[in-house]
Formats: sequence, structure tokens, C-alpha cells
Amino acid sequence: MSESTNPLAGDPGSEDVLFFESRAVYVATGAHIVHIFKGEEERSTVLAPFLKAGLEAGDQCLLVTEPSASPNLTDYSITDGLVELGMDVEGALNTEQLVVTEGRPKVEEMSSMFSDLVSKAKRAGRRQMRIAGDMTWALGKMASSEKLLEWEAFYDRYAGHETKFVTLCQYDHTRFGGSAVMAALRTHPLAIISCVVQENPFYQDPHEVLNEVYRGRGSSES
Amino acid sequence: MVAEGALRRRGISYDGHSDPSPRLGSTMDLLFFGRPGIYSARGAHIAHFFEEEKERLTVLAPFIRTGLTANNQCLLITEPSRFATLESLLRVVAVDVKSALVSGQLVVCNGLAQVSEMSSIFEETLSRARRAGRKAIRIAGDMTWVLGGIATTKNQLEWEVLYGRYAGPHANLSLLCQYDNGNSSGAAILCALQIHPLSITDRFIQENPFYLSRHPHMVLQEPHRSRGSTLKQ
Repeated sequence: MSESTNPLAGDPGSEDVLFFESRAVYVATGAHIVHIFKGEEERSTVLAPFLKAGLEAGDQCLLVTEPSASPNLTDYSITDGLVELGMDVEGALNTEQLVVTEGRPKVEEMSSMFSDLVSKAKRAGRRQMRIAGDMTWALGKMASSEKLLEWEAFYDRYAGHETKFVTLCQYDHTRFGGSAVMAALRTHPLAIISCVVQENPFYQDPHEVLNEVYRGRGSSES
Repeated sequence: MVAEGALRRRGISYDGHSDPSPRLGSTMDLLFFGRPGIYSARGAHIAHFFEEEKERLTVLAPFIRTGLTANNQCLLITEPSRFATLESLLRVVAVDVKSALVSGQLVVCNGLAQVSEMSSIFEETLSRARRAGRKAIRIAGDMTWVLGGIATTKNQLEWEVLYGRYAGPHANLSLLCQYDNGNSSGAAILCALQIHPLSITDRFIQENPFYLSRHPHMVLQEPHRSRGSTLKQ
């Protein structure tokens, strides 16, 4: 796939595309992207420009991360990447344009958190939402890769309806098992691997995935 | 959402009932994969990612059955205990497994930890095929043993380099590597995605866009070679 035919390298003049980072890579609003990577440096290569572009564009930004990272964000390497790019992280945190929070194990709790954020963005007059998920938060909170699959499919269905969202879910493949990585590939229409962003052919319709999860659960309980 | 049409699951349904025409590989040199409408080019190197044993057998049994029926040389790398179920399945569809084993058309062996040891098994398989006048070779590897026997994905790549040395469009040798997602690390799955040009997941066989290079050793040298839009400066 060349850049000229890649839908990600969209028309920057269109209202439906969102600048992804410093190169000419754009994604449509509503996009749900998985980034599979190894180590903090590779993560930051994608995450920091993603958030930077959002902060500069006046987007509401949310970073869902591990509990240990959220209480004192200024010590966290994620902000190092943003600071290196010249961003005023503390200012963005103070104005709540950038919100950092830990993931929650229940779908209802996560949904509630997103609803609050949407309200906050509306009050602040922000038109777009950028959500970045450091998925290591799920390691201690999701009991199995099946629960993770369910959450991602649920979110994908939600994000697909919410056109003002762009979501980047980051998986460090050294910390997740094979089933979790495959679950991530099944639930994200776009994928970044080795810093290349492309359509993901392993993606499945979230309704199909959820039906499979519920069917499996039903048969194991019966 | 961008590219709505492209978000549908692509590839060929492994059920094989929806499209009877061969799609994968050149029509000059096709290898029947074992299901209606599913062919791959000789020299194909395919990764199958599965969650349950029955999924593994759904792909493996027709791959081996078709090879035996077509007088291909078949090598199955797996633990003997995992061969028993496959043997039963093949017998149900009237494949004379015992004769295939006795004649050496089908060889079942444990994987060996050293790449050099596996190399000698491959050489023996090629010689056996030549002596018996068999024109095509099918190798299926239950990758659980590889991942259990090696420490790093670098070693996993070295193993695939060995595969690459024997595979190729002119070798009449097709490779099916089966990965149990639940028994593999995320790193191993990612590595497998980057070194197999074709993949099977669920019921779909398709080209794998995360494949980095035709030759696995290139992966070590060019980790960012792929399609799509690069985010690297």
C-alpha cells in the first residue's frame, strides 16, 4: 500500500480527518487504532506526537494508564516525550485539556468515565477527543484475554458511533500473551506495528466478536 | 470512519463454500490446501494462529490428508502425544496413516532445539522425497515446541531463516507453522506475523500485511520494512 492510496494519508483539508503526528499521516475521526510495540521509546515515538497534535489542535485528550503512572504524571516517561516535543504538559493538566486516569475493570465504570469526559469537552468547547490507552492498565484488572477481547470489542462498537473520538490503544508485546495480542488485532480496524500504520485485516465486526464471547460464556456456564 | 468497505474481514473463508476459485498464488503452480477453493503457491510459508486444539486440527488434518493423497512427502513436527488425535481424524476420512508412516511418506518427529539438528531433518526429508520420486513436500510444524525450546524471538527468527532456506517458489515445499495463541508470548506472535507472508486466523486464509520481507533474515536487518504509512521520520 503506497502512501498515495492509503486512506490514512487522507486529505488534510477534509473535516473528517485528524492530523496524527508530524508526518503526513492522518486518520479519520472515529478511528480505533492499535499500536503493538516493545519498550518505552517505541511507545513514545507514536504516543507523544499523537497527543501533541491533539493538544495543539485544541482537542480534549485522555490518557488511560497504569495506576502507578497516574498519581504523579510529571515523573512518568510519557510526559518526557511530550516535553521533548516542546509541550506544556503541566499547563494542559491544569486546564484539564489533558486528563490522565487509570483504567477501570468494569465496562460500566469505563463508560461512565468517557461520558464525563465528553461532557467536560463540550463545556470547554472542544470539538475532538483523543484517547490514548496504555493497555498495561488491563494486566492487573482484566482476568483473562477474553475479558480484554470483550472490552475492546465493546469499546470499538462505542467508538464507531462516536465520530468525535480517535483512540490509540498501545500494547507492549513483551508484557502481553499471544491471545491478548490476537484479541487486540481482532478489535482494531487500524494497526501500527514497527511504526507503520495500516489497515488491519484481522479486524472483525465488534458485534460478531461480542456474540462469540457471549456464546462461549453461555456454553461454559451451561 | 475511514475505509468502511475495507474493514470487512478479507481473505478466503476456510469453509471454502463461498468461492470455489483458487486465489492465492500463481495458477501455474498451485498446491491444493485441503479445502474446497483453497490453494496456495508451492513454497508458501503460512502461519496459523489458533486458540483451541480443534482449530489446529481443522487446518492441519486437510493439509496433511491432501498431501498424502497427492503423493507429497509430508513431515509433521510435533510431540507424539499430539499426533494421536490427528491420526484418528485421518483414519476417519480413510487415510491409511499406518502405510504412510511405514513407507516414510509421512514422517512425524519431535522438534529439536538446535537449528542445525532441524536442518539435518530437513535434508533427510528432501532426500527421502527425491528417492521416492515425490515432487512436492509439505511440512507442518506445531510451533509450541519451538517456543518452548528457544529463549528469544531472535532464535525464533533463526529458526525461520532455516525454513526460508528450504522454502521458496522453486522448492515445491510448503510450510504450515501453527501457533497456539494461549501458549505463545505476545512477542512470539508478533514475530510470527512479521515472518509469514500468509496467515490463517479463525476461518480465513489471507495475505499478511505485517509480513516484513520475503526472507526472514531480512527481518533482522530491516525491522521497519513494510507497507503502509511509516511514522518514522
